[in-house]
Amino acid sequence: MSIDTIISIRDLVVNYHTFSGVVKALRGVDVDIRRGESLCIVGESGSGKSTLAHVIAMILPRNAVVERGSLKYEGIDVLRSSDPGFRAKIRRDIGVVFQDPATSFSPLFTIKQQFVDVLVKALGVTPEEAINAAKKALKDARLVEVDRVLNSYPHELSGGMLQRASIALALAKNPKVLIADEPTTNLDVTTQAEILDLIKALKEKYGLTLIMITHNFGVAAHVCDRTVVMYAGMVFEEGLTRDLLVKPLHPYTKGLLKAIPRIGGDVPNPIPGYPPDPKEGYTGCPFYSRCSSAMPECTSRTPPRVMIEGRVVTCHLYRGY
Amino acid sequence: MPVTYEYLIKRLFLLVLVVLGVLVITFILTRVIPARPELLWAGPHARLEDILRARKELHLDEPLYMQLYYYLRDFFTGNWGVSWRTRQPVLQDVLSALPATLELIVVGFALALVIGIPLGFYSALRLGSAKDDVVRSIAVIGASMPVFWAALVLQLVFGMWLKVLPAGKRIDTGLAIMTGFHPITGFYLLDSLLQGNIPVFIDVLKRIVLPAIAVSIYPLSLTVRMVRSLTIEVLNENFVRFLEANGIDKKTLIYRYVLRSVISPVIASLGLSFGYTIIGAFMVELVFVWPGIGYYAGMALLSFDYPAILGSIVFVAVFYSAINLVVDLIHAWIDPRVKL
Amino acid sequence: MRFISYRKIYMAGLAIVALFVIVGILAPYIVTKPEEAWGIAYNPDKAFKPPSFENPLGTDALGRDMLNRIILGTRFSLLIGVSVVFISLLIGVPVGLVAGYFGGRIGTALMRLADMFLAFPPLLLAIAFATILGRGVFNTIIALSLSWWPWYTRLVYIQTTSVKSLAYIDSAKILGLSPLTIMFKHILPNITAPLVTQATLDVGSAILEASALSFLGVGVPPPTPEWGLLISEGWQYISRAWWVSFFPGIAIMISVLGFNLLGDALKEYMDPRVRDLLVKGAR
Repeated sequence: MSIDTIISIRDLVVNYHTFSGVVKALRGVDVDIRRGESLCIVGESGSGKSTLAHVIAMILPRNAVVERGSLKYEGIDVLRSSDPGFRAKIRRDIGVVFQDPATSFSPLFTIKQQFVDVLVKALGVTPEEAINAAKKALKDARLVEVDRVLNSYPHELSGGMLQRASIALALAKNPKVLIADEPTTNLDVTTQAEILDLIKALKEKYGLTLIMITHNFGVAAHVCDRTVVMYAGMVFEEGLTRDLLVKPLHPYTKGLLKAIPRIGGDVPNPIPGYPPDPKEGYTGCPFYSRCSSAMPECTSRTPPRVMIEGRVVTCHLYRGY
Repeated sequence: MPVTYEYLIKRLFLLVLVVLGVLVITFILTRVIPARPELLWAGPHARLEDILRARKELHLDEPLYMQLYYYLRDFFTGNWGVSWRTRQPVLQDVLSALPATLELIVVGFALALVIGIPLGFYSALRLGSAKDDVVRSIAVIGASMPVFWAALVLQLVFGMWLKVLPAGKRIDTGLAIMTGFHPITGFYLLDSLLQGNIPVFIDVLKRIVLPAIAVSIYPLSLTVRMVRSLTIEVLNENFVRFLEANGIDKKTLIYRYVLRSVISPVIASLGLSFGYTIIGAFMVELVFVWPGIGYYAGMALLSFDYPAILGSIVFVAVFYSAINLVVDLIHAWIDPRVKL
Repeated sequence: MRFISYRKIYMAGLAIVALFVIVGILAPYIVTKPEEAWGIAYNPDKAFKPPSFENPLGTDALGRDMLNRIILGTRFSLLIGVSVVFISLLIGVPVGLVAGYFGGRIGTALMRLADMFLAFPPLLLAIAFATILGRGVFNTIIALSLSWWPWYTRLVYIQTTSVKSLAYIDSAKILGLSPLTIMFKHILPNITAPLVTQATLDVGSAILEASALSFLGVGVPPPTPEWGLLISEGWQYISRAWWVSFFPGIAIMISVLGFNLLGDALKEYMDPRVRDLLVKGAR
């Protein structure tokens, strides 16, 4: 692992045990995240992108089990460490923002109270200092009426303001990493753009490592240096965002890009079919039934993970490289 | 906290409406439904002159709306009739029996909440564990037990067989006289403390334990089950994950945020639990011969004492509505989301 | 069904309810001393016999075998419990659907009516009705049903108002379907889940309330071997013959327990999140 890799994931397999079966969310994921970069994880629902984010942030639900694999943060395996101090370090170093700002805060407490309660523990400061840190963070999040926001209850604020407040809370403790799980999906289009710009700006300003989850390639194009494309719990392609956009290698990535409507471009072409049932196992490649470049070995053998042109592709097409 | 005068007035107005509704319903029940209400009213041992007198008293020869008018007028002026059993005005009987019932209900309900809320919370935090299963089992058994039977069993086992606690009577009058105790509020526990009369306090306490436990069984079980399922729900909410992921102290999260989110709906349903407590208390009073409204109403039922039966029912219904109003106000005070 | 088999305790609940129903239906045919059970025959010389091999649950003041009486009592509890819930649903659900669907003045008026019934603490109204109607199995059922239906109305009203605003209801309206069809074919199927759960739990509650009414003397008349009545019959002699009041109470408790467990199983099944959390393999 090189010096500037902050998070290193190897062969991660995560299952959810549900009443209707075992959901195989991650089927062997390898990703390296470099310090200070902005990485987007793009995929459809069920691709495992949120699960990946949750594993890194250590907020998996009770019925999730890590079957095998490693997740190293700054060299230490998060999944196998029983050191409570390490867990506290993760909480301090990693800030998380969720998709729905309206439910991210407790409706029964003021924003101020929630900031104080988080920062008192995350920063180890007094309540007064926590309030000051909160004010600073809210200003950073480009909120104008900082005092009003602090004294408000969540239901009194708009979605956009709440999302800014969530970002502020995640960043107020000066983390090294920010994980944003579809932070703009629930917002209207104008606010979406503002929030994305805000995240980008704050990332630059504080030198954060940004991990953004999204189903929208456009967001990835806007914000991220590198992008990981996930499907059915596997990484299909990984590389610099502009490389992926200009010359996608994996058939799935190609299909995703063709499905995006573009002004003046062709009629969008969604990929036919549906992702496989996450409760089922499969042999070979999960994309086989929808792939226009499918070959016989795609059903029988697991596609190899290949490094090409500084990128990673998991596909039989590139087997020989 | 958004409890405005407007809201208060509106709710009080609704309360009056509900009270009227209650009165109309009881009116219909006692005057309109029975084919010959004067027979019912005069009782099983009536002579002809009693029946005729009943007809006159109930204004049965007048049009229905006039009967309703008399009925309502009587209730609102405090004329609730005279009990055939005690020969006293019903309202007076009910009011003098009230403190005994209230004391029993308050102690029983308090027991149910004080034990039930922490127990349900504790159980949910250990979801799926053996401790959780034990608590759930106790709660579901408690919710299946008939109150009056539980009261009987308690009285039998602890009162008669083990002779651990006295069963029956609120207070040892002999002891009270000896120690110079006299009731002020009618709540003996409070009064004895106010007078610094410890022997009487202990005596009253010993006598209230068994009935209070009997009263508390059902609401306790209800509370445990409700708090447990609410807590499980709250623990799954987004804000819990958000705050935890961003570093909040686990204990703060659970005992301040989760607890508060749980308490709010619990408060909202307190009114209903209280309703069950009231009815339970009545049956416990019958079994323990506790001189409260339940006992009074029970005796009235047995002796077909219609004025007393009616008065008790109306009183309890009105009281219950008032309690629900108070509960709603408290809920609105605590939960900033409640729109008025 | 598979869910119930997941946890032993829910299996027990299902088993109890099944047993309850079977015994209730077959009771008159399986009692060994039918006249005693129905209360017609008396054996004064065998009064107050404690539990023994011959009378496993003892005898009461009139020498009647308690086990027989309790078994027969199952039938009455079953009858009353199921009838009350059934009738209450029959009245309460349509009222709630109408109130929720049409809303406005009709809705408010209907709900105000229901609220007036609900202003009485549980059981109080039933006691009032029962007093007026007099004793009897049928009267008990009526009294309880009349006080019970508003609960379903309220439940259905709340559910209907939230389902009403779903998109497919609008499409149904646009298609020109009659309100009746929409209410019963479209809205109702979506709210059956919480209704069924509540109804299951309520059978247990109805049994409890019926026994309370009988205990108070306004329910079924003697010599009906209804459990609550049996308890009150033994009340006077409780120090002498505790078994007369004790065992009917156990019968009530076990039956209601069965329905409570079954209802709990249904509740857990309906909530996918809780369901998944309790699955084996979860931490």
